[in-house]
Amino acid sequence: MSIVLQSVTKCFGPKVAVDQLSLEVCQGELFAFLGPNGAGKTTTIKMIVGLLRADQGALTVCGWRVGAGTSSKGDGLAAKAQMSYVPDQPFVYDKLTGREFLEFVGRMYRLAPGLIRERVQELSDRLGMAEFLDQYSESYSHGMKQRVVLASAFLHVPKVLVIDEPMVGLDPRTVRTVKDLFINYVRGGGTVFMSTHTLEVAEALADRIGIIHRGRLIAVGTLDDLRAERSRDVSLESIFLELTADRDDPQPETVPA
Amino acid sequence: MTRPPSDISLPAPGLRVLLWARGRDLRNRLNQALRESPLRLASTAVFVALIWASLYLFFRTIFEQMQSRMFIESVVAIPLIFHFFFIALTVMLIFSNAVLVHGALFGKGEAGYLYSLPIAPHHIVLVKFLEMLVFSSWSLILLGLPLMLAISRVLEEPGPFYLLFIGLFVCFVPIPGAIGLLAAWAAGMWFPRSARRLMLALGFLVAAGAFAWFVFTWRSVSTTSPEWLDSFLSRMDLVKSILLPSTWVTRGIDHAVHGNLADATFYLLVTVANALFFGWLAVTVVAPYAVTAFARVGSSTAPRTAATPRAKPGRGRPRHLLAGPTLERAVFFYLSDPMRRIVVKDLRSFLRDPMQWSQLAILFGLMALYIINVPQVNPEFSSWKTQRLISFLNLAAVSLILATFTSRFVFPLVSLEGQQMWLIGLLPLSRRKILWAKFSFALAVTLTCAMVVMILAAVMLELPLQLAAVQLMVTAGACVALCGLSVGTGALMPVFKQRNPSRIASGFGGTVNLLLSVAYVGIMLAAMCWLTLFRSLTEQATEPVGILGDWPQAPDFVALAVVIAVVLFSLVTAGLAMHVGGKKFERTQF
Repeated sequence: MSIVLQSVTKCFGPKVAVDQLSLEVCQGELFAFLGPNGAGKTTTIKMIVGLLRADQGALTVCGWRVGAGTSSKGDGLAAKAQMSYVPDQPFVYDKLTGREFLEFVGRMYRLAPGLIRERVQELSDRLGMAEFLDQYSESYSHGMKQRVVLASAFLHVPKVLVIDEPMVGLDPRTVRTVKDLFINYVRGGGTVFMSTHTLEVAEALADRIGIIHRGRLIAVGTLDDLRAERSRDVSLESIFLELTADRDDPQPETVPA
Repeated sequence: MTRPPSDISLPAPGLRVLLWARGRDLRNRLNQALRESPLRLASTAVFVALIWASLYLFFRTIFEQMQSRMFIESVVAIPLIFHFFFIALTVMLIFSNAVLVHGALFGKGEAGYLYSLPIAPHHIVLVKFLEMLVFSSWSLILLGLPLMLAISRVLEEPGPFYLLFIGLFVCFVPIPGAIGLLAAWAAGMWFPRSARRLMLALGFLVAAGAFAWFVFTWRSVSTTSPEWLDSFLSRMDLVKSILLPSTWVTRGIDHAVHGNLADATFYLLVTVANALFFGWLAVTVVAPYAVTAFARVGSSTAPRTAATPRAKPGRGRPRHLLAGPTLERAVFFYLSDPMRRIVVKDLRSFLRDPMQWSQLAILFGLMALYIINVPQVNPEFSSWKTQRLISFLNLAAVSLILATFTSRFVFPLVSLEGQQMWLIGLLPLSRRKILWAKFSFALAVTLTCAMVVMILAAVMLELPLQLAAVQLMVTAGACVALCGLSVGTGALMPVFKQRNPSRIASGFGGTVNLLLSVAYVGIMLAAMCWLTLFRSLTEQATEPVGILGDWPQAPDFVALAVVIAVVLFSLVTAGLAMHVGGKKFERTQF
């Protein structure tokens, strides 16, 4: 198993953000993590990458424990060495060029300089970054930043990729390129844990889907599994809306024919 | 759960790579500055050199004056000045480092990114600590060099003095820095919600407490007896405690001044050893729990999750700023409704951000404390000459505080709207009116604070009506001028991509604005100095009827003309800056 969460709970004061979440993601799997705003997706992701510490339960990535603090210091670093994390609002250094930023990341993961150059070139060609890679990142649009950050995530070929909203700000061609990147990566044995609001992307790419609502994992399985539970052939959107409906939510209007 | 094989290589060159990235960042910034704005860089260098030269002359004058006076032993007075200087520096560095490190290690942005990488936390903490140390203290180190040159010029010091002085100064800085790091971490761990507010409140309490202690000490000494200085100095023993880093540095400088190089070197080594120890201690304590503190601070500002029960209808609605739209309309009656909305929006943002109003509160609060205690400190305050001198000094202090405040907080106002231009720019409001709304907001805040302090000064000093009226008019004019300058310059030289107000203020445009503000204050104070001090203190032996003469029998038209000229100068400064800034702002594209 690449990612294992066992009865993970996280509270912010009296509020339970993630409630007894248990989940396993296999190696070579693309797992889509869905949920409404405020459901606990980002909190879960931050616990997986070690930026938040679970109040209860255990998390491991590639067998290494994850968690902030001294008790898991060594494990925490080992776990981080196996994965890459791309947040929804990625950070890049304003006064470094994209190439220098990638070199920084590559050196951080102890890649040899020659290998860094080779991989930067390859990723630059794949993601169409050649035009702006040598400009300071302060001049980048959101899409350009996203591409550079995605490149940095794949630079050291991690075992696990944790990514929050990967397609935001990307043009359709780049979206297609990123999808192909994910597919090839997963076929090569990598694991992707992806949080997204774009259900079409989840439908197209995910091997399995998990839906979280109000801190609880309310559904997990392949799209076919989720459909089977509903006993009808419906879209992921319909499944999602049905599972995450609250009593007070306004019902979507049906447009007359 | 079985562990994976141990052939996993743990990347651990974090410190080296972080320093490399910092170095590359600095190199790129310099290259960019040289390539895109060489004139700006040259101007900055020239201004820094001018400031250095001015500080050197200032310190040299003070030390020469002290050395020439027979009833003050400069041998005693200079070390005491250094004691106070380094104690004040200690407190300032602790708090400035605490605030900076808190943001750098536990705030949003780079910290979260670095913690997600396989870098040992103590490498992150160490690099951030060193960075913030340089950031918070470079200006003080810059200040120390003219001080050192002034001392050496007056006292004709040998060569090693320079090395010892620089060594003592530089090695002193990490000690309060380390305390600041520990304070920031403690605040993040146990007061994550209100860490910054707590540090600011503590800073204010410390400053007020120190001031109160000094005033109490001064008042308890009878200045009529010839031994008053000895009595006063004996009460200052607290600040000369051997346990304080400021004492080590002061003694080291004192020995260096007197040519006792061995003793000076001893204190240098004591300072170095303690700097290394405290730095190591702080990093070692903080590093293992840095991510925990980061998580706690992040959790304290996290948005409510779906598990949060929804607020009941009617509760949690933001209250009106001034207890109702009626009062807002009454206070800002001269503004149209759209402009009033912008002013109220800015006032709300200002009042809800302790970082903004706290600095104003601290500066004006200390001014008010000083003014309240002036009658006790100087028993001759009611004499007309002392009144004129103190009222002029009050005007100078308030004007300089206003210049600092408007440069730091008013200048960035236009730049900060850059991110919201998609909203502000599409309002049914001309861009000039947006600027005037910013001006109105800034004037409301500064005029309120300045008028309260100046009215308090007029009451405590029992100023004659004419003098009080002139002071208040000139102060109001200064508020108008400085607000207009800062808003206008902010529109002329905006930095729309920057969201950090302090970085906007410390950029090229902010520096130009500060210099223009100081220039305005200098010209205004020169005129007022001539009017209140030179004319009355040098030309008149007996108390004049009034600063503007004896109205209506014998008005002093010259004095009146000067006051009118100062007020007009203030209005013209504001008007010109707003006009030029407004023209540029209308043409600005986003």
